[in-house]
Amino acid sequence: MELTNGVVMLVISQLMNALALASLLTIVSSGLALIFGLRDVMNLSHGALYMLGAYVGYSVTNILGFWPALVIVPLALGLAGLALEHGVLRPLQRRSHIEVALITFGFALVLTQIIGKIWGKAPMRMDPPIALAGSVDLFGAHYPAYRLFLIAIGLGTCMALAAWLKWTRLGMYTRAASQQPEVAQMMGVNTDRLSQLVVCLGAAFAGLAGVLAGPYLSVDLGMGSAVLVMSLSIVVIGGLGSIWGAIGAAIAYAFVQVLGSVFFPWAALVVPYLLLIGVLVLRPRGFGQGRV
Amino acid sequence: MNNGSLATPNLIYGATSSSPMRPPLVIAAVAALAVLGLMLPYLVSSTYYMNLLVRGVILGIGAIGLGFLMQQCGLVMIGVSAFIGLPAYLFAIGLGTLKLTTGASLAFAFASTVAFAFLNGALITRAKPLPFAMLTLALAQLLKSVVLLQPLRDIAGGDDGLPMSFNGSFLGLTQEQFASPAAMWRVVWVSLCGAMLVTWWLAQSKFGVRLRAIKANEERMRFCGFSTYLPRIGAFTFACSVMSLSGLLLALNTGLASPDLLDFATGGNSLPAMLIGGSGTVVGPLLGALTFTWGQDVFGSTGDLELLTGLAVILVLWMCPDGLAGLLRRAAGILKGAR
Amino acid sequence: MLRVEQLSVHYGSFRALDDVSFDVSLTGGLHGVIGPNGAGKSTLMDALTGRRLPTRGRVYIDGTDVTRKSVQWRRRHGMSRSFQRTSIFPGHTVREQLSLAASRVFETNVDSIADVMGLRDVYDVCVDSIAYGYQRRVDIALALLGKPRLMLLDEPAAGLTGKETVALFEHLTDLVKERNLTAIVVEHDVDAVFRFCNSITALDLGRVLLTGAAHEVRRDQRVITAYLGSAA
Repeated sequence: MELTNGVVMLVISQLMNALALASLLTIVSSGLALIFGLRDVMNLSHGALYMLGAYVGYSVTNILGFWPALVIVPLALGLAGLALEHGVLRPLQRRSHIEVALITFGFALVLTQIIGKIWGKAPMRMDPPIALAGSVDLFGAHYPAYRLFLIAIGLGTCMALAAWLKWTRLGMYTRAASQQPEVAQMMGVNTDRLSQLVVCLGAAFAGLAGVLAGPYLSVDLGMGSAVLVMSLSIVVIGGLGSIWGAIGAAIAYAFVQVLGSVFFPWAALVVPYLLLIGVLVLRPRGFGQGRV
Repeated sequence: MNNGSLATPNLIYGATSSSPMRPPLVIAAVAALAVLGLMLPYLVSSTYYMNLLVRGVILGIGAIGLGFLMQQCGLVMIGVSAFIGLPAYLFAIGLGTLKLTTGASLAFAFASTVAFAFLNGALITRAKPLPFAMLTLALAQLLKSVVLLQPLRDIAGGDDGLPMSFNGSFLGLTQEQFASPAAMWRVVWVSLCGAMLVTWWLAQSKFGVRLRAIKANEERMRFCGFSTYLPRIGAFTFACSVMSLSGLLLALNTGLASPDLLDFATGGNSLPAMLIGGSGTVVGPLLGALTFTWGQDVFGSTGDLELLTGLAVILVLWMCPDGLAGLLRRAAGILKGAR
Repeated sequence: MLRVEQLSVHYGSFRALDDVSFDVSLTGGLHGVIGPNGAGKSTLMDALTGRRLPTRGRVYIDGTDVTRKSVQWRRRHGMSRSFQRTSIFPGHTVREQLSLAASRVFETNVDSIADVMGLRDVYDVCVDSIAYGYQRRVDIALALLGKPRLMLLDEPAAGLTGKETVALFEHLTDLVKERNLTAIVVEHDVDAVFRFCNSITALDLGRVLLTGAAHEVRRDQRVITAYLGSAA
């Protein structure tokens, strides 16, 4: 009786952990997918933007509190997205995919170092806000309230994004432009203005994920690289430019990671890589061959 | 059409189409330079600068491998750290867990890495440049995570890395001597000369011409009857072998294999070195590596190095994709023309 | 004999080629493939040369099933192709292009092919700076290397004027006779095709309307209907 109870609680808590990670990953990856869909650019600085969000979130939380940070940071990162769009993506539209990606990679290096200079190299701990600091009774186990909050926000963001894509005019244009860019242009969509909006949105998403991640994971200079590879894999496996694919893949990825690291650590690591190879090599939709 | 060295076809590598074998004078000069290079420790008395040179050349060897891949195939390995860190780890494992001799461990590490490169190459070289870059990124991250796995802590050392030690001497040097710049220099210099020679020769050969033709128009090459898959695997395997050499030299020099080596951000310095120096020649990546290492010296302590590296990478890719070597060649060309 | 048997290329529910069958004897001559836009001509070329794997159907050359053979295999066994959009190596002289490709098909007489295609004037000029007409000739010259038995030319006269097209076809006719090779020519300019090709396959919407001699095809009601409304 005790044993099965323990196993059930373990499974449930791991499921919740997976959902919490999935929340973070869906937010980050949908941002990356948005940017790719509109600008046809694999933004290799996305992880660094996420990290910037976490660090700025840390500072704003210390000064103003967590809840203001939750609003301010995405806005600030939206501005960073504006800089990215105008400084890098728009001027370099005609360059090859790999060149622009490498430049965003250089941008990531620069950003990482700037963060290091401002905040220092030591990892930093961030506590969840008082309201969410406790734990909740879940099926007889104690589960951190903050993670439930994370899951709620992840779900909420996905639904908001879905609603935006489906029902607003801009959302429809975004979907059209990421699937058929020439057609969208012919329809009169100002793809430049739309791209600007979407890149800002994508960066804001990265920032939001960063703030949310602060109290959940620790804030350190390595978080950008880890998230980058994960979100790249997710966006690719989910189907380039497809927001829904990215969300689905993020959830699947989080589950494979969390459950895998407990039960099958090797699989958790190797499977994403093999899937990535499968998608990029065997079914190369999207890169330079038109979009999904 | 896009510009930049990622797209330049230049089937004739570095020379004009009518240039035959290098004239004997040039060969003699290069040979003399190679021999003189061995004497460098006698000129540079400071251990500190000697150490910088050793590190710079080790980095340069990795960059040369990367540059070969980029120039011949148009492929950029963002995850170069995978093939620098992997041989280092395998070497340490060979010494530690497998209890092999130094020579056997080196051979084991090198051979395994080359085999691994071949396997991966067979899978990923079919991809276009950006997907390929992303795959190498994922591979580097994968290896880093594997090395940090809890169950493997005894073999791989976990967070702290895996130190390595061997008794006795290898190639006439003890481990302490490998750590000392003056003695290490000989090994490093000979390795550099070997790597540069082989890379240059391969690039000039029919194999190189074929690779560059595939890069220029892969479909056309297929329709001319050429296999486009195998040559690229070969190029990838060769490039990774050169990078492994760099990794092994680093391991011999530092005596430690750490997860940082596998992290694409911290262990991937060969990439900016190659980009800054320019991949168009065999010398370019070396130049870039030495510049980078010099930068490490000047800016390293303040942490501005990585910042400048990032900025330099952006600048180079944006403005002069030929890198420093390209700039120098153009300057030389202008000077020649002005005369 | 080139035998195409029920060749189909489907993309989901879209049928680029549907149940295409025809024969072409490989005794030398020009065989034209015509059809309005979207008829599937280029898809047919792609399927014949191995660039695209058909969903169904087979291709036989002299009894050998070549349907699933690679592009490289077909090239080495006597099938070559030129491209609708000129496909050559940028940054190289004409001589270098031809020499590079020649080695693979054991062609030793590159110069004579350059002569035949009238490329001597631009032999050592970088291919990026020669006129479009010359570039098309290089594309065809690449297909002539190695004594192919079957040459597939995808819109060789694209971008050429009426006069140039006639000149090109006259040239092709001579080539085909001299070298005893067969050329399948996909072409939009139906007048040239009717005038110069020994036999013709007419396609429409992925299906074969008719295969026959030029005078038959020209007078066939279905072919005329298919072209109604499009410039013929």
